[in-house]
Amino acid sequence: MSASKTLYAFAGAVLVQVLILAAVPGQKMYTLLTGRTVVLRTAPVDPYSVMSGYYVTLSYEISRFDRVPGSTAFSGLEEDGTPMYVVLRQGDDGFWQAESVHPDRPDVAADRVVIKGRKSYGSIVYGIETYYIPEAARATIEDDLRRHARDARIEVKVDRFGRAALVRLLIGDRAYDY
Amino acid sequence: MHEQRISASFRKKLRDELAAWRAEGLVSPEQADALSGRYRLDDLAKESSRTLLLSIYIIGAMLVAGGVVSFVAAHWDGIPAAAKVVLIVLAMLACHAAGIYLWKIRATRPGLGHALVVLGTLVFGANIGLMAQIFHIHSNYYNGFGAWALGALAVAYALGSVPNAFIAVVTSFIWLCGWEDHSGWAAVYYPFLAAAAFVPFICWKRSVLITALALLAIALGMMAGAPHGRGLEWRVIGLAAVGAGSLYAAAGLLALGREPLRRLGRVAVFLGAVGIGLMAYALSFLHTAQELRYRSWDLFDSPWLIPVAPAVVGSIPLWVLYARAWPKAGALRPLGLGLFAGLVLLVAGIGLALATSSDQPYYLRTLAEAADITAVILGNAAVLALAAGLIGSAMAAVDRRLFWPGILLVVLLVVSRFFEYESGLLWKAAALLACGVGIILGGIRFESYLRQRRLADERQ
Repeated sequence: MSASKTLYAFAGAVLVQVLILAAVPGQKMYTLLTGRTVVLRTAPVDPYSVMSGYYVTLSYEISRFDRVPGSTAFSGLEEDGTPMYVVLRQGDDGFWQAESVHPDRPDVAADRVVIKGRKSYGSIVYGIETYYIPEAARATIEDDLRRHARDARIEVKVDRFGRAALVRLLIGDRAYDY
Repeated sequence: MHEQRISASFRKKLRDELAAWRAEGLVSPEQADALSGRYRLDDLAKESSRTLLLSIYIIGAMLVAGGVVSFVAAHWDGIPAAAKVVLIVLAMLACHAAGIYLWKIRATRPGLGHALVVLGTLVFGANIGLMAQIFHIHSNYYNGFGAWALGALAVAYALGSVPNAFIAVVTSFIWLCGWEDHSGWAAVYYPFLAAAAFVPFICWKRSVLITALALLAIALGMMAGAPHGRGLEWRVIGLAAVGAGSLYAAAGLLALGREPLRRLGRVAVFLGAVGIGLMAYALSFLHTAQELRYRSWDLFDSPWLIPVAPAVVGSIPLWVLYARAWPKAGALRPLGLGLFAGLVLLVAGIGLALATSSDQPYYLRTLAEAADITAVILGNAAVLALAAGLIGSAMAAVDRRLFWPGILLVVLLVVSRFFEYESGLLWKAAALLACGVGIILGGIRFESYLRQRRLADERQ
């Protein structure tokens, strides 16, 4: 290969690497820009195991497969990774709750939102289960989570494809946005 | 110099010996110069320092990177997300740009330049994780390794960089391991993807390291396939070992006869022999034969067979080609014969066990016990055939690297049988003694045979 061809090939390869890096947050950026805001209540968590290193492991009321209305329509033997579409409806308290779960994306009314998850070891994961936090804020968040374990919620955006992206963590009257 | 690559250790030894031969008058100065030119002995010092420099540069570059990473990490929390993205992408681009400049554009320090490009790919891998962290993306870890493999492969092809190909093989295999854990289909796709990604690179660069790693990754990928949630299964491992072993052994034996591909052929034959040998050894145990037969078997609900089938089918024309070339294979003819015989016996043994598996008709199931014993006998015979091939070629090629693995296979087989079946301590003692004495006597006879052959060659 001639020198100039080598340089072009290398430039192309580096471009591939840059595009891969851009693709990592690409979907999330799209969801943040176009998605609809939804506030989810986090499921009660063990305050002593919630922090894993420098991120918070989040679980939601809509994460428990067997607690989602309509889950009995599934055999329960679906392979991990099987896509599931959960219809959310805003409750009187302002939080969004699961109304039903479907194997395919359903058409819903304007006041409903469909969020896409995947089955994983008896749960449904939505890609919003990890929230990275700075080291300096770790102690404050840990303390807040212990004191307000039942008042922790997450603001997310859900786009028209059902993909979700984390916006911020809300504990008690504080908001954490990193 | 002729096309065959001569090892650096041989050339160093020749350089030392040549000086002695010259001093003793065994070769004239002109002959010594001709030999020195043929084997590029004057380049040895330069090559050695180049390798040393590359190693030093890579270690140095990694230490510098570690320092920079630590410095940035100390201030990481205070940096806005956008600045973090710019910082990590610039770090990667800086490594690549400096590397290509020193390696290809200015070409003054190719070793350092190559090291920096490799560092750029390592930074790229780290950046995938950092991007996920910056944007709070929760995904399966193996997807990051898959993306890393893709980026490393692009650079490997662009520059013919073996270290980047190495990163690509390793990260792609980690991707497979994670993916397989979540989906039983991973092992169906991976062998094809890995073959498409790495075989052209192997043909181009003829790197022994990449050949060994890629062939191993493909074979392990085939073996990992199993109905989801059941873990590893002997049936899958057995058929994958047959498929990969047959393909690698046939292709390797053919490559051994072609000078530019000989080193790669050795790797393929070695991996093929390991695959066939290990599975044949496993089948020599009654438990394996029973396990193969135990689980139900639905040929049309076995997606993991998708990569195994083309390997088996693809190896058939290669064996036909090898059969034609076999008379000219010289000292390696016994090995080729041993591998083929071992493969046929192994296929017969596995086929018999699978044909009498538990969901077969009643009249076949009644033969199950006899089938188990027959499969075990075939497994033992396959190991012995392989051992005979190794020992036969060792004698013909006067090469102890083939002799000892052959002897060890026989000993392993005998010792395993004595420990597998109930036999008195006296019998066990006799078997162990016989094996030990057999090894010692065999070794002495072989070494004396080597000496005689050497003396005969010297006389000629």
